[in-house]
Amino acid sequence: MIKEEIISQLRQQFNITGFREGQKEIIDDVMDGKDVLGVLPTGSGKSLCYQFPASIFSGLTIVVSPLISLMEDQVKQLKASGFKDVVALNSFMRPDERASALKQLNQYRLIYLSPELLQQDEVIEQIKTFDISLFVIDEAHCISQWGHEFRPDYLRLGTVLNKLHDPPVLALSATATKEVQNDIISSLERPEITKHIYPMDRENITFVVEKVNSENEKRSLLNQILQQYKIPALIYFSSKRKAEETAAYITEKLPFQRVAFYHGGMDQMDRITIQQQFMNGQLDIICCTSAFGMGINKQNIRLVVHYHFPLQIESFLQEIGRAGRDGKSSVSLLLYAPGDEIVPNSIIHNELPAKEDVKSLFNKVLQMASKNKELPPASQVIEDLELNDVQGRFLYYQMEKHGIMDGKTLVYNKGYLEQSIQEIVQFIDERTAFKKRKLYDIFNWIHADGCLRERLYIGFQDSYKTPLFECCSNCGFTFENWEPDQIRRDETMLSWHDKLKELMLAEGFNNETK
Amino acid sequence: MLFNYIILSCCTKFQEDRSTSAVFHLLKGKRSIQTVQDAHIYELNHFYGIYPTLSKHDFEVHVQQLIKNNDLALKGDNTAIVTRKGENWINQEAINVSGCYFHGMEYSRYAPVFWQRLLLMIQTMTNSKRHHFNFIPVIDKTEITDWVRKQYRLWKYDTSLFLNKLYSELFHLLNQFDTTEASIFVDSLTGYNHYGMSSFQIAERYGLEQVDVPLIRTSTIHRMLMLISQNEQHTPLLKHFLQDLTHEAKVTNSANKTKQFMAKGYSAENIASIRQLKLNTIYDHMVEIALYDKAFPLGHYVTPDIQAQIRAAIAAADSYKLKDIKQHVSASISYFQIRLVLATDKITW
Repeated sequence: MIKEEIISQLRQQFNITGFREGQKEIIDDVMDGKDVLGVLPTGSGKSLCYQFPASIFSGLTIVVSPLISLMEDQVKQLKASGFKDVVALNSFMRPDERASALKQLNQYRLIYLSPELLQQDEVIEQIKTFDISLFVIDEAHCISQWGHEFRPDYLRLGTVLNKLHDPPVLALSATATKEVQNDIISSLERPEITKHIYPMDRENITFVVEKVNSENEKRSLLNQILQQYKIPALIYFSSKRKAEETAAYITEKLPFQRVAFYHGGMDQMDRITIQQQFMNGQLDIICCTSAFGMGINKQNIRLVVHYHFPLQIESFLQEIGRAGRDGKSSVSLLLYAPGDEIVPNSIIHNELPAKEDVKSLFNKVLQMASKNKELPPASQVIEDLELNDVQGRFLYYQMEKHGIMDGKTLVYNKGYLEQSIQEIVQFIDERTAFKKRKLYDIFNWIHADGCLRERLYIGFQDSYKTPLFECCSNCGFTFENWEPDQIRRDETMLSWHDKLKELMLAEGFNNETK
Repeated sequence: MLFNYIILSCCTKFQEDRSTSAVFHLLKGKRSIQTVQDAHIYELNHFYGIYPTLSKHDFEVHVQQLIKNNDLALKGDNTAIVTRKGENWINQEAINVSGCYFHGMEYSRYAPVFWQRLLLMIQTMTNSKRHHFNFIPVIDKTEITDWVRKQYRLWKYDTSLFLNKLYSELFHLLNQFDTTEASIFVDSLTGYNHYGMSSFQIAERYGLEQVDVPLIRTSTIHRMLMLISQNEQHTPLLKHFLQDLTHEAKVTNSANKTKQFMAKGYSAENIASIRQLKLNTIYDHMVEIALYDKAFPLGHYVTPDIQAQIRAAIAAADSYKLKDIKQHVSASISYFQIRLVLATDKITW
């Protein structure tokens, strides 16, 4: 058990008033050195479950995180809160920077890095020399979601743990079905792991699905709703361009709304600016891709719109989970027009090489190899084969897995190659079918006649709490009756004199600003 | 379109002597003799280094646009001349940009440091006044954060006094600008629970092209720096933002290390072997230092006799090209010596 005095001290440090559901239970077990799998709903403060112990442990806490932008955001936020002994190592650092950070690891308590970096011997060798108190896998569902296809290093974390002398493990996720949980446990080779699984249903969110006939109708419906409400809102899109276009559209149609767009193609400073302005209430609406949200902690988001629907229910749950963290009435609105499934379908097909192409791909690879069977650099091979990044990584992983390639050299054996190609084709089939099934699930949910709440949570848990406000559009919700807290419409434009004075918290200059 | 105006103005001055990438280097403030000389010879000192964040891509896109639009015509060897249409446009536009003030050769080294210190200082002090210490700093460069941390220690018990003083100094300065310029400046600032606008947002609000926004800001800052230096007694606190500029603000980091060795009396050859760098790299550093250091000890490296020979050769060759000059001096004189003389002399041209 955590001692009371430590708790009160840390409460101050992390600026929290108390633990949320699940946090204390997980932290207790982590402090006892147990292996823990924690599945906590979005917005329940998962990161505290390792940041808190990390500040007490004498050794290092390693956090494996899937996205560089996410790591950078978390490091920035931790530093802002006064936790300074933290660093993010990634493959975009200059080699000399990384080498010097690696040599001075003992300066840090918390180290974020990508699973790919953990495959480098020099990194492992350096980390091994330090005492590791805790090994964390954040967003652990990535093991299952991406590990099988193009981030195989997620599947090798078990081996990494062995090399690091098996430190205690904490795997965290917001959305993990039983299937995914088992995948995580077997990849980490920790069958005895202690599970803390918490229900993810949100009793203050009302679910709304609006089926319209066209893209234009989506826009006008959005226009109509945003005309009525000035509330903090997120609008999710599957394309960066659409997010930008819609932000411009809303700005033009509804000038009183303060809108911005956000996607992974923007530079870090611009991303932070938008995030911070949204958190400070300088912006009301963000048109974004799925890149927005992880690490965002805004309490009063009243509306989350899905202009396009995501590839699976797990992503949907993560995204709507950002609404209404303050417990007040909030709405998840999904807009559907016929044909909306075309884009996600083609995403699924483009993620992996087409199965009819596999054979010719391998023929081309064979031709590229030199006499001593050496291949040109991977980036060149992938470019010559006209594959995208993910497809290229998939191909390389498969060549490695089937022993067709060893380092840069092809290991060529005709009969064996034929068989491997067969297996790869079959694997592509399986993965595509799996992802289509996921897509089908969300498609079916959109078209369900019964209670949307019940249908949504069915695959994840046995029951759900009674909704605090209206349940869903199939149970009688209409926007006419929704009256959320609104933001004051303040359309007076301050002069720069007044803005400067306000911003600089200047006092006693009343006469000058006239 | 301030940016297009500046590109066309530069091309007009360069005529057909220089390629478009010379314009790019000029605006980026490249630390080479060639670029600094170009600025002097073609009377483009004011534009030197006014757009350090400019990307090659954005630059190319705008050059191509100007060509497509028939304002600029590309010549064979990548030089460009301004067309009659382009000239007319510049003349029309001259009134709109008359409010802009650039003095790149004088201020381009200090302007970004001044601006970033100001941004972070305002964010830090306003948050501190509200006892709010969990903010994400808008600037995370160590050379800036270190300076701000020092200032913060000096002022942390007088945040109100500091902010009031800074407010009235900024107010005094901004009052001398037109309303739009002052508003853009204020909208870019970050304070307590208030994050400044990005270039994109400024462009949207004021109906500008995004590529112009950093230029407008630079123009405002250059003018501020000029006003500060003219009336130091009105802006004592802002003047302070220009103090203890690190040497890095003037020369690159690596050149600065070379400078430290030079100060200890090491020769170029010694420095090269200690730092395990090529001799030519050390030469480049020395030329870079000579460009900015008015007290550069030219006599240590080039005797007065040889200096005279080189200057005579420059006159005889009627050119600043190294090859031309080299043909007019004795064979024992090196390119390095010619470059050093050119670099130290640039101020008098």
